[in-house]
Amino acid sequence: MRALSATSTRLDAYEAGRELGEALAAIEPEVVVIFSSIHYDLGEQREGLIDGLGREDVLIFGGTGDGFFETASSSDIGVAALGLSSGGAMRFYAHLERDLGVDSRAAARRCGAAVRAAAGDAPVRLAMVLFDGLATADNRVVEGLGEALDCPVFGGVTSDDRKLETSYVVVDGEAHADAVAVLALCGDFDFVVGVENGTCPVGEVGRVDAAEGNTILRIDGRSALEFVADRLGKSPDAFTHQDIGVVNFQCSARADMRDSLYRSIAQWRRESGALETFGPVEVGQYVRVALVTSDELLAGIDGVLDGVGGAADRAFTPVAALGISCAGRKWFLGPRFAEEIEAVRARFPGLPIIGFPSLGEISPRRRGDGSYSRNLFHNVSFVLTLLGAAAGAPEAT
Amino acid sequence: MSRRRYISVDAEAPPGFEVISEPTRRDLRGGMVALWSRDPDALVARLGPLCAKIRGVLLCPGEVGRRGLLGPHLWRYEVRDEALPLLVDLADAFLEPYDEIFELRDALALRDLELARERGDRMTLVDKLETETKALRGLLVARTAWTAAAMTALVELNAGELERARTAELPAIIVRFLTDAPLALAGAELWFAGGYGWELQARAGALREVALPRRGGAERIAAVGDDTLIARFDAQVAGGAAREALLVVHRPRGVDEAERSFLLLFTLQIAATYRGRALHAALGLAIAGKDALIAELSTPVIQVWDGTVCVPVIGSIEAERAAQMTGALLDAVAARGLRHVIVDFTGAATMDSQTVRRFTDLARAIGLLGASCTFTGISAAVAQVLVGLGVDLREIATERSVDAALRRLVGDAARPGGRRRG
Repeated sequence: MRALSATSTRLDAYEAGRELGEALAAIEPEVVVIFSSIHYDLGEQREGLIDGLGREDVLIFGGTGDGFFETASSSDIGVAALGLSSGGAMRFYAHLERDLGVDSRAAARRCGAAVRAAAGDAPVRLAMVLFDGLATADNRVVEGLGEALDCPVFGGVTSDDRKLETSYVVVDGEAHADAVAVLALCGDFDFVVGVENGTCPVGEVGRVDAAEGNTILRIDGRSALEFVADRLGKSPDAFTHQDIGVVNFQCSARADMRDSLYRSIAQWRRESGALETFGPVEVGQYVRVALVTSDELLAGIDGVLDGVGGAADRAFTPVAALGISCAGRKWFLGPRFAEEIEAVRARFPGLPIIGFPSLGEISPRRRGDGSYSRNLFHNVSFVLTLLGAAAGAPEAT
Repeated sequence: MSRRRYISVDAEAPPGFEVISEPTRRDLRGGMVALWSRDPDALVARLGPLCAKIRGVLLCPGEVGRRGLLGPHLWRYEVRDEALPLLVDLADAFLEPYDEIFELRDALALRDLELARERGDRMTLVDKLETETKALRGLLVARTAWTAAAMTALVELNAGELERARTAELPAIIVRFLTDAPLALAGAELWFAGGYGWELQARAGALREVALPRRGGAERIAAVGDDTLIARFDAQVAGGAAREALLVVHRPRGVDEAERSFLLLFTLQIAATYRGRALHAALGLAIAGKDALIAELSTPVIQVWDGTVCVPVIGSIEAERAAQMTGALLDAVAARGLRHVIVDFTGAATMDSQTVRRFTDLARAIGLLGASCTFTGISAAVAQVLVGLGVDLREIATERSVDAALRRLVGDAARPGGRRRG
């Protein structure tokens, strides 16, 4: 397996795409993953990419984000691309499904089923998902994918330049808002997926008594706001907008918080004490208040790297990496956001990697024995997927 | 300078031009392009919409210097055949300024986007901070005003009504105070622990049903819902142990930290008031008891013989105590028909002249009641005072000691017609 990453900050979509294509052409990639800022005509960008690569038989998969980060650079404006060439050891299948907002679960299920059908008898071992979260208030994409795919799925929610107006997912010549897209990876390869966020849980675990979609109503017999206030030792009246981003929930189906995910508080309703989060929380789920600082967020990257670093005992050498970082982390970290990718670079010098700040992250939790939990939808997290050749596989030429 | 290509769609290409009879998008885009064709209209027709995306110039034979626009960034420029050997230079000269313009425009556009992004981010942050600041400022002003008014009212309450009121009136005063302006609490109730639960002491305003906490709880102050506070304190009453008390208040628009703090302070104040009153009452009782005991101990009238009593004067004798002794002794002489009174000064410390005069007056008064009075144990100091006062000691019987006085009095009584000194 070979990989290359490239970026362009040229404003002309065609020229940006062409610049990427020419940079990646040397490895004749079978698939190119792109993360683009929202400013581009994505059709033009694709034409440029195709022309830069000099061939059309390449699968293009990607979406828009709040900027990008890459092996050598990061920017709010521009486009990053990762080309993968397996020499035929791998097969890639992508599908885009529209009308996500009508029924996100059904759209995701159809999308997952489509790539599985395209893969035929080849098992889908890993999948990447991107979807337009701005189009769906009730995000059930992970659940829908779970009904069609039984492999680890990682990915994120496409976004724009913080206007939160529209975002696109891209599969070949299609670029659509209100859509979900899945890239299925089959064949001989190895991978490891890690997720972490670095937040610091405080206080006792509580159980969600009442919730509706993305809104937690009651926890442990009291309003969600009172629960949080109690754990933080402050009055519910003392909550301000400044608490958004700082206060999060660690959530799990189990009281011991195994295979947990995180939810950020989007807003609160003082009159009812309900808390709205970026993503659903189920009744019966266990939650724990978690606080965060910039240092802790960055420490979370070390957590991810330590987690995926455990794959070294399998003689696994990563060839490429894809990173999905929460746009909220970028907002919270401000100028320190670049430290995230710097930490990855420091751990994997020269490894081709691209990523984008998303509005939600998807990943299973990797356990100590190398197995994965079910796929989870996270907030404020950093997902890192390392791809490499299967042990003993010849290097692609 | 951006990448530049020189393409001739005609097989006969000018020097420096590569022949591509059917140029593709890939050939024509991705940089500046100089095209050569002797049939430009046919080429434009063939390129179609691509003309709108090409940056460059289409060179063709024609009138020298005549030009036109074929697309937003594609010019048509006519040249004479004589210029063909220099067509590359000509194209460069034509494209050079546009090349720089495109570069600059792209750089400016990128900067514009970056600035817009930064402006947007900053505006969002500023809006957020402004909203936050306004809300906090409004809250701070409101709470400061309320707290100041509440504290003033509390000071006035302490200095006035609370001080003068009888203890039994305190519950009513407390609840009335909490529902008065400027506190504006819609309801207030005061409960004391009694029997198996709570006994309502006073109530003011309209308070919805509130489940009272169990007795003996540890929490000093607790919120019920978001608009009711319950404060717990000890109300110590005179002659009894401290009774647990609950103060329940309701604030229709919700309670905040300021009200919470005020109520805590207020309950501390009320508890102190109750405790102060209980201590004051206990102190009053103790003082009265002590006074009675002192009075009793100050005038011991000891019968030492039939019809004879001895009154030992002990410690410092002040005029008030001397007057007490005088009254008590004369009452005893009259009531018990005493014949002899011995006033013993052996244990007396100091006496001022006024006190000494009271005792000499006492002796005379006893004489008027038909009894005799003998002073014993007079110290040198007392003797000097007596002399200094000009008291005629012949008027008052004196002996060195009670023993001597008794012997004399008993001897006198034994002798018929015995004469009384004095």
